[in-house]
Amino acid sequence: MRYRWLFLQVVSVFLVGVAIFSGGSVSAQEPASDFSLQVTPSPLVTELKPGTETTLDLRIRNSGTGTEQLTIQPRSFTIDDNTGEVILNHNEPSEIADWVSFKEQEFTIEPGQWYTQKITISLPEDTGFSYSLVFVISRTNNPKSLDGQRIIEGSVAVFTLINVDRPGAVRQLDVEKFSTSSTVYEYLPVTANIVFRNTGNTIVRPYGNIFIQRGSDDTTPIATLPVNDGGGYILPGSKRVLDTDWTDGFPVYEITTESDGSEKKSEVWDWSKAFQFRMGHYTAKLVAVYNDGIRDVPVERQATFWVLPWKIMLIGLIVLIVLVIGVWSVLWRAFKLFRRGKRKR
Amino acid sequence: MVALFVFGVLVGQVTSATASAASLARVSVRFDRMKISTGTTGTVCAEPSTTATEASVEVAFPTGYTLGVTGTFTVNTTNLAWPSGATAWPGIGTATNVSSQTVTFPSGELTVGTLYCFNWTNSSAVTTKSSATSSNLGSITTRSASAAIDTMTYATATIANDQIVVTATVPQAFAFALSANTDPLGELSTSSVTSSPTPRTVTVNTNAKNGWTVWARDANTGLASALASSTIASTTPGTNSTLSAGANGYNTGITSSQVGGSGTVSVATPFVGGSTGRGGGLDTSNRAIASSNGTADTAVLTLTNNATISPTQPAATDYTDTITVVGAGLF
Repeated sequence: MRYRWLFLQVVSVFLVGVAIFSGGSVSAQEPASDFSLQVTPSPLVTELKPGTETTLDLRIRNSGTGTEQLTIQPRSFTIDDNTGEVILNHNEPSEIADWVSFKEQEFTIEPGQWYTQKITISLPEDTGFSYSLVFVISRTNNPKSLDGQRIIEGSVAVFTLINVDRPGAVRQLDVEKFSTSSTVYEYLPVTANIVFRNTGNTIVRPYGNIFIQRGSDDTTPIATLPVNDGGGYILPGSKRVLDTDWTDGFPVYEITTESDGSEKKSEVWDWSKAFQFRMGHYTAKLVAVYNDGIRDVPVERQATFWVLPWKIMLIGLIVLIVLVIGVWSVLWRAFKLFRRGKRKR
Repeated sequence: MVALFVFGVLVGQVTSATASAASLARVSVRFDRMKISTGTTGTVCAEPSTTATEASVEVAFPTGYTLGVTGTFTVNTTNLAWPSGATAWPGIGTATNVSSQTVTFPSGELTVGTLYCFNWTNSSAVTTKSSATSSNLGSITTRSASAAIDTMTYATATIANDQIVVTATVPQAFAFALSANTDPLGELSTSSVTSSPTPRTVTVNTNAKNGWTVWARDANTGLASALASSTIASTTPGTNSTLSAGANGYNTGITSSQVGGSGTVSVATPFVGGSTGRGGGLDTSNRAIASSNGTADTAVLTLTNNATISPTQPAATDYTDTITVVGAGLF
C-alpha cells in the first residue's frame, strides 16, 4: 500500500512537470494554433483640413486562446471598375504612408484583452482631396512551416477613408444606370439595380429611396425601399453597384444560397400577406441624395416593369372559361327547353 | 334656377381668371434637406414669361410640409449654387403672409426671359413632410397688385433616411477567427485526390451593413519542395476546377454557412468547393474567396485543400506552402 502511494506521487510529479515544461515551451516559441481578432471601428473614416493632424483610435481584441504579437501595416487597395470588387495590394500606399504613424507598430495582446492602437495622420498643407488605404494587422511571429504541412496565416484588414476639407473639393455623384433585373416578373422580389459613380474628387455617401408606384407622379407610393441602407462610401472615380429588393408581395419567390454557392428558388405562399398580391405595370422611381457639403443634392431616375403571375392568371382564365361554358350550356339548355315547349303548344 | 345661373357665371369667371395666368417659363424649389420631418432652408427660382408689373410672389409648399409663421421666412439673394444664369430676385423680402400652404413674398418687377432666385434662410420656416414620397407638388405664382401673372407647379421628394447617425455606443465592428494555422495533407497519392483531413475554418462576425470580404493568397503558387526543387503548382488560379487523380493538381475549395445576419454569403466562383477535388488555385495575389453583402452572425467558411500528384512527381518530405487569409468589413 505504501509503495503504491509512493508510485502514485512520483507519477503525479512527473506528469505535472511534463505539463509545465511543454506548456512553457509552446508559449515561448510558437503562437497559439488559432487566430482570432476583433477590430472596431471598421472602417475608419475621418475628415481633415490640410496641414492638420488627427489621431484615430482603433481598438483590437484578442479573442484567441494565446498571446498575440501583432504588427499593423498600411497597404493600398484599388477597386475593379467592372466588378466593383476591392483588390488588396501588397504595397504601401505611397502617397499617404509617410503621413501615417502608430503608437506602437508592433504590439502584444493577451487573450481576451483589448488594445487601443492610436493611428496618427498628419496631412501636409499641399494635399489632395481624399485618400483611402487599408491597415492590415497580422502576427509578427507566424508558425514555422513544417515538412508536408500547409501553414495558414490570418490577418485582419481595416479600411480607412480620409476626406480632405479644402477649397476645390467637389462632391458629385451620378447615377450611371438604374434598372430592374428583368422587365417582367411572375412574383416578387423585384430587384432594382443602381450603379452610382463618384464623379467628384472626394468620398461621397448617397442615401435615398426607391418608390414603387403605379405611375411616375403618384403622390402615395405602394412601397418605399431604402437606398444604400448600409451607408456605403463611394471613392472618387469609382462606381458602386447597389441592389435593392422589393419583397412585400404575395406569393413571393424566396432565394436561398446553398453552401456550394448555388442558389435555390422556392415559392412562398404566406396567406397572411394575401392583400399584397401584385399584378400589372409598375414604376420604380429612384430619389437618391448626396450632401455636397452644404445641401442635399437629389438625383432622380426611374424604371418600369411588369408583374404578371401567369400561373395564377392561367388558372383564373381556365376557371373563367369553365364558368362561361357552364353558364352558356345552362342557358342553351333552357333555351332549347323553352323552344320545345313552345312547339308542343 | 336664377341663383344657379348666377353661381355658374361666377364660377366661370373665377375659373377663367385662374386660367388666364400664363405659365412661368421655368421654376424650381430646392430644399436643402430632403429627409422626412426635417427643418430646411432652400432656394426658389422662377423665370417669368409675361410682361407685367410684379408686386409679389406666392410659393405654395406641398401638402404635408409644415410652415412656420410669417416672420420665419427671412430671405437673402446669395448665389448658393443657383442654376446657371440665375440672378438675384429684385425686391424680395421677408414673407408678408402665410396662408395654409402658401407663402407670399414681396417682389420687384421682373424681366421676361430672366431666371430669378432667392433663398429662404431659416430652417424653422419649412419642415418637410413626415412620410417619404416621390411626387410632392407645389407651385409658384407671380402676382401683380391685383391678379396672378404667371404660375407653374414644381415637384419635390422626401426620403426616409438621408444620413446615418453613427452612435458612439454601437460602432461598426469586425471579428475574424481562423480555427488553426496548419493543415497537414499527409502523403499524397497518384491514385486519389488527397483532401484536408480536418478542413480549417474562417469565422466572421460583424455588424457592418455593407458586408465583408475574405481574400487569400499563396506564397509559392503551389506546394513547393526545397529538397526536390519542385513545385506541385496551384491549378489554374482564377478558375474553378476538379482535380483528377494521377495528374499534378493543387487547389482550395470553399463551402459556407451562416447562423444569422442580413448578409448573403457568396463564395467566389473560382473557389466553390463541396465535392472532392473541387476548388480554385491560389497564387501570390490576394484573391477574394468569399464575400457577403450584410451583417454576419457566425458566417463560416470551410477551406478544404486538395492535392494530387503524377507518377513522375519527385519524392520529398518537405512539400510545404503558406497561405495568408485576410478578412475585412467593407465600407
